[in-house]
Amino acid sequence: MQKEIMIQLLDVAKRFGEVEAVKGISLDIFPGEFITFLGPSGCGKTTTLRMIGGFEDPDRGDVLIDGFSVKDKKPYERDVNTVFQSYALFPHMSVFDNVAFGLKMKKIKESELRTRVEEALSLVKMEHYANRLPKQLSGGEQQRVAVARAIVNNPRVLLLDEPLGALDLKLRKQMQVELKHLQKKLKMTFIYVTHDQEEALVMSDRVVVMNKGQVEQIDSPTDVYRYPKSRFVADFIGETNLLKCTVGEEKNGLLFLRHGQTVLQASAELAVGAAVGREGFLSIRPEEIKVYETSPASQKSKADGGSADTIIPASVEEVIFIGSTAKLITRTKTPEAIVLIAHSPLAAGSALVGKTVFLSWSPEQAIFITE
Amino acid sequence: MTQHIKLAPAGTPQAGRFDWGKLFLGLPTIFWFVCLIVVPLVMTLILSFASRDAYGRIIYEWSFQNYIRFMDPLYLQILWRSFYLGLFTVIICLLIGYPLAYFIARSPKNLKPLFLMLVIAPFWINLLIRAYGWMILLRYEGIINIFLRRIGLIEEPLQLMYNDGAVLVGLVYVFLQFMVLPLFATIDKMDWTLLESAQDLGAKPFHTFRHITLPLTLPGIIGGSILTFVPAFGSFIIPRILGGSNSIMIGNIIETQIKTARNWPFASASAVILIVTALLGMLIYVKFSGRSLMGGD
Amino acid sequence: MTGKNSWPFKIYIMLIFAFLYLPVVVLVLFSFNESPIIGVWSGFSLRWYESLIGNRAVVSAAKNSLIVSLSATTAATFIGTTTALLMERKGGFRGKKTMDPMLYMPLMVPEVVFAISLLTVFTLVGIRLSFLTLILGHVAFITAFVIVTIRVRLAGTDRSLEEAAMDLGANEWKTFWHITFPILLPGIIGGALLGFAISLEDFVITFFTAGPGSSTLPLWIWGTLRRGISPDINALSTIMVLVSVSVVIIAQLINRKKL
Repeated sequence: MQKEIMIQLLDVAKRFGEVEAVKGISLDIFPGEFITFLGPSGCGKTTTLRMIGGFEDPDRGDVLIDGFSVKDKKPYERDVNTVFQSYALFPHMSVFDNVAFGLKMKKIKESELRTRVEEALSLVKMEHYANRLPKQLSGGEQQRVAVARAIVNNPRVLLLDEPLGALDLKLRKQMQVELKHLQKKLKMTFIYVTHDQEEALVMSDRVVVMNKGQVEQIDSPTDVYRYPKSRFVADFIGETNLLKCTVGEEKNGLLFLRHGQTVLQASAELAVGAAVGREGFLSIRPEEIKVYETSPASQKSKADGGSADTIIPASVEEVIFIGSTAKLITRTKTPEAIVLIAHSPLAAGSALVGKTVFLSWSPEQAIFITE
Repeated sequence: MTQHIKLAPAGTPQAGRFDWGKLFLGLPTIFWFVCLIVVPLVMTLILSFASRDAYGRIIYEWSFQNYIRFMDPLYLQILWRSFYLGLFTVIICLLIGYPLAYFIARSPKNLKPLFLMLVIAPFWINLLIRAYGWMILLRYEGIINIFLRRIGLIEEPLQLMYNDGAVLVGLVYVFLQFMVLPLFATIDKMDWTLLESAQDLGAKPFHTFRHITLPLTLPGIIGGSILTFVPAFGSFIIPRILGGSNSIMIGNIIETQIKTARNWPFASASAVILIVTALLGMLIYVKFSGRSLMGGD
Repeated sequence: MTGKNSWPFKIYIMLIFAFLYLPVVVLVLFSFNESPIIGVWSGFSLRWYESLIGNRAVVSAAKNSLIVSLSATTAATFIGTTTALLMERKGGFRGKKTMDPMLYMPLMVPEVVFAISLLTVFTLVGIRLSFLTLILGHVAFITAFVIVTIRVRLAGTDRSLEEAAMDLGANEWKTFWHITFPILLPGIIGGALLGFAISLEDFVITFFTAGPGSSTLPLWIWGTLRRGISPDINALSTIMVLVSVSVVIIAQLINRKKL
């Protein structure tokens, strides 16, 4: 039996005047998962979320919740709740009344209402603020109330539209962890929208990377990071070295890629649709590049027929201190003089500038992307 | 368990629920806008082509005779007076209003609302009362004449009322706020660092004003001028009280034709001429002021 | 900002303020004058106020003024609120873009023209000039101002508040009643007070649309003025100035109230 699907997007599309915000997205969302729409501003992630919430009507396609079309259902007829980017706390109501609003609309009895509101407030550690007005709360506190107001209704799905966008970095990181814990505790489906790739990687079970109204990749955070399927994903998530290459040949599970006269290797298994002669990009994460001051011996002997690490000599042009490591900007000593960025714990710092180093990475860390 | 749901064909409109809310909201608006604004104005336009019988009853025979009648030098002279009084009102309001708006915009933040309130407050006094206030000051036995005689500057009281000057004073007094408010809005929004950088680059105060402040506040000047010109041009209470029979404006023609002569079609034609002239004046002004200030040099 | 205001500039500004307040001050001052001759001060007295209270015509005109302004304000506030909601909130309707600038027409058409247009319609339709026509005239004129005030407030409120209410299960009506209306209320009150002040301030519309039996305060002043100036008018004007200005100040304070 297939896994139960909670929300299904079937080729939904939406246009605002001249702008095609969402260009036909299909997606299955499963119960209890934390799924994040990630992308730059204007990629259609918020519009997609708003179509699930019922705030926008799709021009085309359908949204199913528990297998039923909600196309003609207004927001108040859908069993989903939203945490808005601006929190949208009712300014003329106390924290308690804000949280109680949804239950009052459902005509829940006074005694039960009180218990449930208090429960929800204590879940977000705001039980002592029940009588305050929203404007008397800090940004972080308002954010917690907004979450409590949504989860108190026990929705099938919770939609979160950049809920942490207005908070400062430290509070944001703390709230990321808290939200994730809350989601696990409630076993509720969270659909989360953010443009912050780190946030998406930290919190989600699955990440939907979006660009220009289309889905680029849907995968676990690790896979999205390590095995980007498009140039956009590789570039948008984290920092990477992207080299334009042409596939030369495939041998022993390795792709031999030509970048000018330089030949680079990549794992063939991870490269989808890489036929000989195909053009594409090679992505190597800076932290996967090892930096040696003297030429290292190969990790595995070539005789094994296994993959051998690539080793390229390069000169260091700049060293940027970034905290736990240093970022090295290097230029390879090949005819193309490729600029590669590597992270290195080498404490040598600026003493390395102008020196020759050896850059090395294993083919498994070099991902060939055809799009 | 994937369900198979038939998709609605692309592009079908939402389920045809009739939006009663929209209708409920729309009815009062329609009543107000159509019955109380559009229909009256259109009726006036139509009536301006009708004529009347000896008893003031309207005869529905269409002609341009009311407009032709208006071409009489008597009326044209009144139209011309209305025009130049309106124009002078704008110029004087600009000379008074610009420094005033500038002063308020540059005053400390905590005093700004107070000054603004002080300028706006007289605006909320009944038009008639404001005109009456000037009557007390300007009339033959008025305060100004009493004062001037008391200090020995004059022997006989001056005739300060019942001339164009008195009307002009009244018009400026009554419509000044229409100039000050838009000017304040633009001057207040202006980026002061621009002035500082102009001075930093060596511009003398006059040049800073001419090349930076003036062009930046042009929208306020144009807006304020239009808002001041239209009511001044069409005013009838001020000329009636302060101008008497010596300084009649087009508004007074309309009033007399309605209230005494009972010639409604002619009054309507005068009203149409008033609006059209005002619109033309504004159009020319906007073109002219835009070119001379922005395109100059 | 650079430098301080120079002295000539300061004096000029002071002269402007003097110009603004001279007529008002003189008006108010001589309402407390013992002598009936305006211009010659002969001592403080409240006799003109006493004579006002004893004047039945004035009392009835005051009553009429209140009835007209209150009724017109009520109607204009209702129309203004629904129109503002229609323009700012309810999705599109055909002709919305064309209608938007036309809503402000009453603010641009000279009042005389507006007034005689209304008079024409009332007469042609066969409505006798009365309280009704006077009130309708005021409604026609002040509604545009009410709309502007409420729209500013509505445009300043976060749309997602209404979405949040719907998201939490409130239908359109409940959303309006529990969320939109309470948040909009200061704007509505502000708009109403503004409309009330403009209605009190108005003379032109009143002059043309009032019927024989519906003399209001400005019309009483107008009638009295024909017989020459009198301290009675000063006293009445002083009271009206006080009422108008306090209404506007209250409106400003309410409208400034932050969310």
